[in-house]
Order: sequence, then structure tokens, then C-alpha cells
Amino acid sequence: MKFSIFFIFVYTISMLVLSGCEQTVNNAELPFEEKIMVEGILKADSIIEIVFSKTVPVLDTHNIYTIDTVNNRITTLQGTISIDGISYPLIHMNNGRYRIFDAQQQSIKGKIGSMYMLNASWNDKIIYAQTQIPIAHKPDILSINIDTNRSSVYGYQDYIKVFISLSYHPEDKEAIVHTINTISPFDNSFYNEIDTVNYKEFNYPQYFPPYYFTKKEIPHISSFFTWLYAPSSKTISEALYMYADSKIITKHYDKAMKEYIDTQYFGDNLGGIFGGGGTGIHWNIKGQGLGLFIGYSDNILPLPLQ
Amino acid sequence: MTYKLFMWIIFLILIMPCTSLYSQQSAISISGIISDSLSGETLIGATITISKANNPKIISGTYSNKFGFFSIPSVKPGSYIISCSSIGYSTKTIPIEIKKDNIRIDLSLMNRTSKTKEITVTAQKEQASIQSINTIELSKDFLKQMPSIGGETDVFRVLQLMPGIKSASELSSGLYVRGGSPDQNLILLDGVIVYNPSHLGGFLSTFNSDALKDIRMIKGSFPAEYGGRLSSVLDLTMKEGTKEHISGSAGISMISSRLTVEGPINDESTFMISGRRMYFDVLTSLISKELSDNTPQYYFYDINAKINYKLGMNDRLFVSGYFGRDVLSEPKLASKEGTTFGLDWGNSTLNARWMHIFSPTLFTNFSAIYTDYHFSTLFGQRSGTDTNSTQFNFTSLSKIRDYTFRGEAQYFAYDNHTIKCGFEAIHHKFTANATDSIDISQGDLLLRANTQQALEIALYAQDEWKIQDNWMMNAGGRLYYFQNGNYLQFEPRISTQYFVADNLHIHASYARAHQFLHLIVRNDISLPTDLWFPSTKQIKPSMADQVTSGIEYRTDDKTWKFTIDGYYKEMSNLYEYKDTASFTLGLPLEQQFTSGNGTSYGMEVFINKQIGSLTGWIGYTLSWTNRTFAELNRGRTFFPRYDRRHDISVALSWKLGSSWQLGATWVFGTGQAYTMPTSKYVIPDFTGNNGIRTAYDFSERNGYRLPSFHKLDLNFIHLFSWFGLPMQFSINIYNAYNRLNPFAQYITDEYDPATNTNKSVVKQITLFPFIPTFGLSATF
Repeated sequence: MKFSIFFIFVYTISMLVLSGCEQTVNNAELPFEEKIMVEGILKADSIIEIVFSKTVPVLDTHNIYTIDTVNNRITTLQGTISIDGISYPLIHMNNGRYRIFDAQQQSIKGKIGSMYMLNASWNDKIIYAQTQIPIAHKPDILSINIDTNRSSVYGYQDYIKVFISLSYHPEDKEAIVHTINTISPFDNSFYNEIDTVNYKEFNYPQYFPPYYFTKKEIPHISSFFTWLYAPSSKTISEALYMYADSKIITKHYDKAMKEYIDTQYFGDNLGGIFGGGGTGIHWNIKGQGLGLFIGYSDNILPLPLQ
Repeated sequence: MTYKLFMWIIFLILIMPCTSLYSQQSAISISGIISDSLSGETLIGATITISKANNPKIISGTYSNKFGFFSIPSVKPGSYIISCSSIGYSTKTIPIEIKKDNIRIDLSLMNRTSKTKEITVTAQKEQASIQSINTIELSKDFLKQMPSIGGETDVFRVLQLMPGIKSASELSSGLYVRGGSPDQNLILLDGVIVYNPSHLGGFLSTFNSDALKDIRMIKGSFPAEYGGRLSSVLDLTMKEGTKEHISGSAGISMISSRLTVEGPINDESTFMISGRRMYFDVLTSLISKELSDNTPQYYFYDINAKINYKLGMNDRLFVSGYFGRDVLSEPKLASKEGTTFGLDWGNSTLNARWMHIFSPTLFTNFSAIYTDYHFSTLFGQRSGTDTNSTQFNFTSLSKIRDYTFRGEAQYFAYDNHTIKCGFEAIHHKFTANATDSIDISQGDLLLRANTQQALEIALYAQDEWKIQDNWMMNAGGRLYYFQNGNYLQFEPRISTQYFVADNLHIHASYARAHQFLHLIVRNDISLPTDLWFPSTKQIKPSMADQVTSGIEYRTDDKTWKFTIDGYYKEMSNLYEYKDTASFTLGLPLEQQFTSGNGTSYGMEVFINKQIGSLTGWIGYTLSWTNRTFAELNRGRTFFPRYDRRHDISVALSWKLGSSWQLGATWVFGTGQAYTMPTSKYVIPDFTGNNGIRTAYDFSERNGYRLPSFHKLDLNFIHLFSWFGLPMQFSINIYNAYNRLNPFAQYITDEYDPATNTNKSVVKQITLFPFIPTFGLSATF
């Protein structure tokens, strides 16, 4: 008995030694630096519309959807967007959304190849950024190979693999973000997400969902595979017919987008005592702001799976 | 080519005194070895002086080196008194007659009993020594009286009480010396480099104080005999083993148990072996199998061993080894879903050393050393459907295997010149790998580890020059060659000490140092991911230039010592991981590093009471440390985590009679630099894949300060006898007034029932509250 008590005592002390205490810091005084948040994706052939909102204190009690509502949007921002050297004032529409208009009072749309510069200020804070809408290069489909042997994926039967290889010829200045869109059956009876890929089969690694690269060589080869649902009640041809309307959408962003992609999770919660270093996302908005002011164009390529 | 030739010429000029002075020397020398009269252990740093038989004024003096050897050259024939003293030993004085032959005299000093009232941190030297600049010598008696957690005294934790030396956190025993990171400290155990000197994630050092004889730390501007690191040198010497009879000590604490056995093998040889093991895993298994099967398994052990052979009057052979390992693994009955992890690290070293006295004025030693270090980390996430499959793996592997050959000569040229020169050749084999991988059941994506080999050669020469009786200088240089990258570097070193009065001196030093091995840690997670990486053509060696100056005053009765020191250090080619480092693309690891510079400067005040029943010190450091990396923190200068503006430490030892001792420490430090968010915002779904989510903006890296840190630790020691064995029982009270010191702060969401929503709150982690622990040890 004494022996057991001794060990319990020793164990308790050991747990104290190796454990910690956690307390809530009441009335924590965290620094607050208010900044302007910019949501500005300038898409080719689409109306240029920028959303401006503001950051809130760290301990703000509003939930995510409340923060992202009218109360947090900036409605009194002053600024301009220059297009190839010509300035257009930002006009507030509603709920923090701003547009620019031409001489005919028409909303200006994005144009491939144009250079855009943002300058704005609000509440003594100044922000600026620059971008260009890149050309959306149409990739060449090098090969489509379908493995008709059915496989099991995560315990679900009746999948076949399709291997797709594309070729790009990007320009030097561009960072191309290549997003493989969902290949979905036209009747929406099954929504097939692109899954992670088998690296061993190809020379270049692939990621889900986006795959992005800067030009290293010409042409750049992008290869991946995906699973298609092919139930045993259908023949392979019948299953492929279900995916007849599949497409590949390639999204081309200004080079600064890559920095954001690489660091997009850097703003997440520190995650406890073993959390991250809190280095922050690398935005292309300069000054006292955050967010993206990025040119974008896309190219839709039909994917002939039959 | 011209530059290299220039370097070699400069070096040859430096080592010329070794040869030219030897040929000129013709006067008589007194030399010998100083040892403990009972154990036979050689004594390091003992003071030896000679005076005329009829005149007490000291004519010449020196101190014993690491092997207990001393030499006083250029003595004229006559009658002298030779006096030898060392801390904790009775001074020995004997007359000698010098005629025309050199004299060899080995002196044995008697250990004083515990009645002595001298418990000091730095050696009291009657003969001034240039060695004391920037140097801390820690006595084992003092070490044992200091409070500890779990009754396990630790060398590093006591060193952290000294001005200029800091810890990163309560959990860490790592040494941050004058703004440098732990990898910038050269840690030597019997001359062998120890790459990871920590157990239990940094909580304890790997050094068992029972196995140590000498603990010496040089905080900066170290002499040319040391190199390869930027900030400091911790030089530890193992015991050799007593020649008296088989004896030892054993101890048990809340963390580990230890056993040391030493003794004679025969008349000419002794041994010492000391081992320690943590028994958390054994403890849990004894309590219950269920607890053991569901608790993470952790243990560490370390073994120090040494054999000492006396081959003759002038020859000794030492063979020493260190073997230590830490293992942390998941519970035996780990859930099939959830995190899997494992950490395994350790050092193994073997050193064969030959000491040879060529002549009364030429002492040499040669070492052949083998070192093996590894550190591996694995974290994974099981998918739940297949226990052999994980969705995510992070692995980090760092291995170093060294083969070293070293030679050193100490030449006592004249009574005012002691020349030391030597060489070191190390063959390194590095293996480094750090990957994130995505794994599906078909197999994982771990990339092959990066393996490199490199040859490192160093030559050095230094002269301890007694310019005048009250003015000393140590000047020298070190020439370094590192094969990876074909680097040839020269490092000048100079230090000087001037006695304004017998008890007042000023000192100054300058040193340049290079470091060819870099410890890179991941800055996106706060888990152990140590990765040693060598310099290459792309990874240039780190460099530091440091200047120090100071003033020291001792009272006439040597009771008090006051020191004020200032330092300034500039560092370049420091390495960290980039913010955007990616471990999955198969890119070479060195492409994930970014380089930058650092600066540190500060002032240290040290007040030390050395004699009396109450001894101890007060230390205060005012310091700044910063880093500037072009690719980190947007190129803005930032503070590293261990930058601490004010640091105060008070350490006291009080003998309460013959059987009770009290040790107390109080420390205060400015809060650790930390990164906290400055605002929150919503990220729109820019790519159409992620949905909206909240994120935090971090404006400045480490721009926030945790609250200040302070605590009081107490240690009560009771000495008693049990069955004729001297025993020591200690009660340690850690954090006596239960200060809730912050280890970390973070933001998390918490459900608020009042508003029925989640709200963000700040949480603070405190590691160790008020903790009473005990330890028991015995000697036999």
C-alpha cells in the first residue's frame, strides 16, 4: 500500500513537472493595426469591380459572415485605377464595391495586356498596387490515356483512371496558375473531385486543386490523372459518355499570385503553442493594406474523353 | 590564389615563434603535474608560483593546463620556494634547489574539508592569468547547491544564471550567449564536439555533473585554440577516476536516476563510468499496464566512461566515450486514426588521447576522435482505414559522422611567453533531409536524404605574452580550410589584460570567428526539427566579429568581486528557412534557406561574494540582439525570440551549519519576443477553391513581447549518514511563489454561451507552477 502511494505521489509530481497550465488572458491588450482589405481580381472581358473592406481587432467578436458584411465594408474610399497611364476615379456602387467608368459612363472591363495601377486612401491609410492581365495561353492536349481496369478508391469500387498531359508555352513574365476544373458528368449524378495523383507515373509533381508554375522551359508539360466513376452496371464507353461535357479551365494570373498561393495559409490561427511562426500572407497590395489586385484571364478547353 | 598565398604567409609568421624560440631557450625549467593527493585526479587551473627562499615576492608563476601540467622556464640557479594552490585545496609550499638541470616536480594537493567557506564561481588566482577574460569557471560544489527541478542539477541551467547567458524558455536548457543562438556555442566534452547537448527536448543537458571534473565557459572572443563556432566555448573535462579505491555515488531524483563508479584498475590506470536514465516509461508501466499502453513512451539515457593509463613519467593515454540517446514515441495502443509521431536523437563519441611531455618546456597531446550524431523527427496522420497508410508525413533527419585527428603543442618558451599551436583535421559526413509529403496508400513521397562529405582543417597558433608584470596579452590566429565550397579563412584573435592595481584590472579583446556548420530550424512549427547543414558553394560560412572590454575589481580580502563588461558583435551569413520554404518539391534543401545578418551588443554587471557562509552573486545584463534577412519580415530588422532587454539573476548559497545547506536563485527577464496578430480579416475566395475564411495579419516578426518572466527557486540540502554512507537529501521548490510565467500565448476561438457564438480569446500557457520535488544521493 505504502509502495503504491509512493508511486502515485511520484507519478503525480511527474505529471506536474511534464504538464502545463493554460489560462485565459482577460483584458488582453493586443496591438491593433487597422488596414484596408482589397478584393480585386481583374478578369479579362469582365467588369472591373473592386471590394474594399477593413480589418478588425483580433478579439473582435463578430463571426466570419458578420465581418464580411456591410458593417465592415468601406464606403468612403478615395482612389483611382490607371489603365495604361489613363486614370479613372473609383466610384462606390454599394456595400464597399467600387467600379470605374469610361467617358460614356459604361463600366470598364478588363483587357488582356493592359497595365493597371491602383492608388487609394481611406482614414489616413494609403494603398497602391500594380498588375497586368496576362494572355490566356491555350494549352495543347498532348495525350489522353484511359486505364480501363476498374480500381478501388478509398473503399469505393468502380473507378477508372484517365491520364492527361498538356503542353504550355507561357511567356517569361507570367506566372500561370493552372487550375483543373471539376470534370463532372453532365447529369450531375456524381460530382467527381480531382484527387491527389500518383507521382511515380510522371516527371512533374501535381497538386490538388491548383497546379501552378513559373516558366522554366518551353514548352512546359503539365501531366495529371483523375478518377472517373465507372460503375460495373455501365460499360466503359457508357461511363465516359457521362463525362462528355468535361472541360479544362486554365486560369492565368499575374505573377504576384504565386506569392499568395505559396503563403495563403500563413495567416491562419497560430494553432496553440506549437503553431506557426505567424509570418503573414504575402499580398501584392502595398502600403497600409492587404489583399490582391491581380490580373486574370482564363481559357476553356473541351476535354474529349471519348 | 594570391589571397590564399597571403594567408599562408601570415600564418607561417605566426607559428614561427614555436620553432625559433625553442632553439634559443637555454635556461633551467621547473615542470610537473599537479594532482589531488587522494584521488590522483589532475587539477586544472592550479596556480604555481616561485619566489626566492629569502624573499616572498613572486618571481614567476603559471597555472596548470587541462592535463595538470605546468612549466616555469628560464629559472636561474638558486634556492626557491615553490607554492601551489587551487580552489578547494590546501596550498602546498616546498623549498627547491635549482642547480644546472631542469627540475621535474609533481605536486599533490590535499582536498580541504567542507569546513571551507570558499565556494566560488571563478577561480581565485594569486597569479594573474589572461585566461580569465570572458571566462566562467563553475565549481561542482556550487553546482550541487543550486536549485533544480526534480532534484537533477544541470550544468546548463546554472550557466544560464550568469550575465550574458540566457535561456529561450523554461523548457529549454539551450544557451544563448551574448545574442548568439545555441548552435553558435562550441561544446566540448574531453575535447570532443557534442552536437546536441540536450535531453528531454532541451529541458536537461546531456552532461551528468557526477562525471565532470572541470566546467569552463568562454563567453566570447575565445583564444585561437578554439574555433568553428561564433559565440562561445563550453569546455568540459571528464573525471579520470580515483586511484584510491573503488568508489562512487548514486542518486535518484524525480526525473532520473544515476550511478557513478570509479577506481583503480592497477597501479598505473584508473577508470570512471557514470550513467543516468530517465524512468518515466518504467514508472508508467509499474503503475498500470493500461496507463503505460496509452501514454507516450519517453526515455533518455547517457553514459560517460573514461580509462586513464599512465604509460610513464611523460606519457599518459586516455580513452573516453559518451553515449546518449532520447526516444519519444507514440503510445503502444495508439489510435488507428489520428496523429502518429516519433522523435529519436542522440550522440555517441569516442576519444583516444595521448599526452606526451617532450621536454620540461614542451607539452603535447594528440587525439583521435569518432563522433556520431543523429536527430530524426516524424509526424504523420493516419487515414483510419489502413494503419500502414498516412495522409501526411513530416520528417526531419539530421546525421553527422565525424572522424577527427587533432594535435596540440604547448611550449613554455620564456617565463613571459607561452606558445600554443596545433592542428585539427575533421572528416565530416552529413546527412540532412526535411520533407512534407502527401501519402496515399500506394506509397509515400519521402525524398532521398541529402548526403555530403567535407574535410575541415584548422591550424592555429597563439602566444600568451606577459608584457610586463601587470600587463598580459594573448595574441594568435587560426587558419581554417573547409573543403565544401573550398573556403580558406583566417581568424585573428587578441585579448589583453592590464592591472591598474593589484585588485583592479581592465581588459579588452577582439576575435573573428567562422562557422561552417549551421543549425537550421523550421520557423513555421515550434517542434524540434534540428537540421545541421554544412557550408557549400551556395551556403557561405557564417562569420562574427566581436569586441569586448571590461573592468574587474576585487576587494583586498578577496571576499567581493565586481565586474562590468561590454560587448559588441556583428554576425553575417546567418541562415534560416525561407518563409516560403517547400519540402515537397524535391528541391535541394539549401534552396530553402535564406541568409542574413545579425548584431548584438550589451553590458553585463556582475557582483560576486566569494567567501563566507553566504556566497553567491547578482548579475544584470542589458542587451540588444537583432537580425536582418532580406527574405524574412519583408527585409525589416526584427528581434529573435531570445532577445531580452533586461536580465537579472541572483544566486545564493548558504551553509547553515554542518549538515544543512540552502541554495536560492531568483531570475527576472524581459518578456520573450513573440509574433502575435495585429488584426483579423476575411479572405475572399480568390481562386474559387477555398471558400471564405478568416485570417490574421502579422505586421512584424517577433514584434510583440510576452509579459516579463521571474521566479524564485529554493533548494534545501540535508547531509546525513546512513549505514555509514554519506547521504544527501535535497528538497527543491521550483517557482516558490507560483508565478504564472508565460511560455506561449496564442489566439483561439471559444464558445461564449452568453452570445451563443464563438469568440476569439487569448490563451496563455504556463509550464511549471509551484513544484516541490526531492532527490536523494549517496557516495560510497
